[in-house]
Amino acid sequence: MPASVLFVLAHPDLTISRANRAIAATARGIEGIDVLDLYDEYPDLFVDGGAERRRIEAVSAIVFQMPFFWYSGPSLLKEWMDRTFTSRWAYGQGGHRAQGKSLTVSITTGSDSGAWAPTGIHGAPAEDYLKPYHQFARFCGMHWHDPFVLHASRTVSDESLAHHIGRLREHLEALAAKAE
Amino acid sequence: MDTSLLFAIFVLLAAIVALVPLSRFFGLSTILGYLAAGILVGPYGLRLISDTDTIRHVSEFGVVMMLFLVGLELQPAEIWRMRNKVMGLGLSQFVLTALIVAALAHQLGVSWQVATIVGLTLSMSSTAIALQTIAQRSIMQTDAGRGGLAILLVQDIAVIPVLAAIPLLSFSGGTPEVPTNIWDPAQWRVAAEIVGVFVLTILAGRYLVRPVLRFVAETGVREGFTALALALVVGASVLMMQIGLSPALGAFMGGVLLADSEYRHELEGTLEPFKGLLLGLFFISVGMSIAFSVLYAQPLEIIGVVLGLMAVKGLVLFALATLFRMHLADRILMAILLCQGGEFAFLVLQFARDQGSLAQSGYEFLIVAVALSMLLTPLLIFAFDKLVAPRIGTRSATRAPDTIDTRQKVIVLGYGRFGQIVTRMLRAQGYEMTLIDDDPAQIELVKRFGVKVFYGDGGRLDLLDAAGAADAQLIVIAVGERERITAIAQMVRRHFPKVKVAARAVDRSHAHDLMDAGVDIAERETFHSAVSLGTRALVALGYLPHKANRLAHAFVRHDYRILNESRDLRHDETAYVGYMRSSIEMLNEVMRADRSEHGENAAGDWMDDFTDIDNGRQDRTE
Repeated sequence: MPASVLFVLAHPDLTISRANRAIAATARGIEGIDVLDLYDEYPDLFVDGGAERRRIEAVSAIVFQMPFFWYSGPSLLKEWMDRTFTSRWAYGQGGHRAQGKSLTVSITTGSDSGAWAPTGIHGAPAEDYLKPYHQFARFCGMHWHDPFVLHASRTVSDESLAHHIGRLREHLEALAAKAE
Repeated sequence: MDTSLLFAIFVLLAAIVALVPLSRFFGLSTILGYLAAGILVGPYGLRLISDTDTIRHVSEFGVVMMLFLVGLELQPAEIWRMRNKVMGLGLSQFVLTALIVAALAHQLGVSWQVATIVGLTLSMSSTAIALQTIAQRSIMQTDAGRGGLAILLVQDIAVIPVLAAIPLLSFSGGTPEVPTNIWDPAQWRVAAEIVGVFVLTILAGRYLVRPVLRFVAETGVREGFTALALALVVGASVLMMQIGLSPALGAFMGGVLLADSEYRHELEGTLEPFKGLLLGLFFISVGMSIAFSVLYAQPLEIIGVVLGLMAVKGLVLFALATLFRMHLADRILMAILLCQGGEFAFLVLQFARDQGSLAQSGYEFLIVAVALSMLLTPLLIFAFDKLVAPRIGTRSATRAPDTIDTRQKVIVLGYGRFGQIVTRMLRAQGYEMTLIDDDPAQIELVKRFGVKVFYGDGGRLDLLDAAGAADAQLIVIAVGERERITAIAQMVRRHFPKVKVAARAVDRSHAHDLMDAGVDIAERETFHSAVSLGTRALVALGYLPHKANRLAHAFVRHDYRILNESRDLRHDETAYVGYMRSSIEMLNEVMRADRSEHGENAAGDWMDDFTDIDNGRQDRTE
């Protein structure tokens, strides 16, 4: 069975990320999910747009898994979006190839949830900063799913991490099953 | 020719052939096979060789050769790197064991002088047994392996002061009960002589032997080098005998003085074929030297001393290993590895006897005890493997990924223009590398820049073995000629299947040959520099640097694909030519696709605020 979910993992150094490593391992264990480790696939940051478009055409759901760097995903994810979701393919004349697919964004942040309160150092919930991704999905005609957010990813207890991964796993399995 | 000598050689070889594979077959160490062969043909077995002179010669030459190779392993840099273990583990093992053994011996009624000699002698372990076991089990990187090596290093070095001290502990004349006045200048003379000769050998090694080695290496006559290596061993031995010391000590010092030279690996490689057999001969001589008459005469005393010795040494080692927080399996293994008496005991005891510090009966008794403890060690290791290891798990399975300080070795063959660049990158990351080149002029040149390159032919298996290729993580083949690279790659792949191999390829078809040989990485030597120049040419022609770089990336990726896909076709000329022709069209497509497959340019076209810049070109003069 060809994969029906494209799981885009954007972390420049998985060896130092407990949460992203565990999440990636979970995704790899689910049938029907194609895990694309961006920094592994493109160590030189040179994204092959054509190949990526073919990859997306084959699936019905896309998941972004990433740490939150400066209120956004790591830069290679943006490069991947720029090179892949191009005019006359994702939008514009004849461009509706991503339409109808779903997009789930799953992020990990270093600060605890208090930092994302209106009085915290970040001043707003992390979800607010995902607005560009939300609008990106809307612009391409993709269904937006509520994002998954894991705070304090380095210090979170094993139990909370496992709980978070469990929720994410359920979602991924549902995506993979729905596409069959 | 003397037929009895030939007969002795034949008997020894036949015994090896008969017993060594047999011990292997039963899963026992080959050392046990050699020892058994020695007992079998010796004066207490079939008496095939009962001539004590032959035994002594065989044993002496075996020890001489082994100590030369042990000395060759003793690099100052290596010792420095392990200084914490050497100072902590090694020194405390030696001092502690010597003290306990000496105290016990004194308790048993031996004079304090003899007790000191016995303590110092028996605290040394068998380098031959331990190193061979460590190598055979490839545990050099484990705590047990490194700790064992540190302890052996200290013992190896301690031999020199111990030998120097023995004359001071000796008895005057033939009456062993009257201690000498240790302030007697005659006793100090021998000690001074030993130290003086050692200093002299170091100076000779640096200023005399190395230039000769270089000269012989430059002539390129291989037998010349082999002869020189053997001449060094024998010469150093003769020198020592001249001043009344053991020839084995001379060989050991000869090895030490060459340990730091760039010819170390070549020497090791040259002597390697002799080493295995001579080590075997050494163990055989140990087997032969087990005087069963002594064992019959004082069975309980001997057994008590052997078991007591092994228990004391083992417990000291175990306690120290615990102190150094080793894993339980490592602690036990290290305690077993080093709990026996060593070959230095033969050397030191003989010297002590000749100096009159030790009576003949005591000498024989101790030799038998040491030999028996060496015989028991392989059995203990066997028992450890079968009984202990399965229960506690040999390695700590839950250990986190290794930290960076235990880097595996990288071996670079060829230190020319190509190898130098590779090496600089890896060195900047803290990798320690063994560099090997066969051009003495080049070695001399880079030496001035502080880079140590070993002289040797990277295509020789024995040399790679000596350089530790079996335990290396990566071997980089960066020598110059196409055929030579291929030959080395094939050889390395055949003999060291687990090691990663990165090879320099001359061109595309050579890269194919290397891929067929099974290398992990093959990189064409001119490819990336040409791409780089092409990229800069595009920039000079007015392309935006980023655009030119993207085109270069696309080109490189395309070319790697061609390299892989054409590999299977290359023996079919028509198909190959056809494929290569179509690949040109493919390339044009790839280069265009980066821009125009869907009107793509990074976010180009997006809301019309990004003006297309005409295929990346831009008029810089505008």
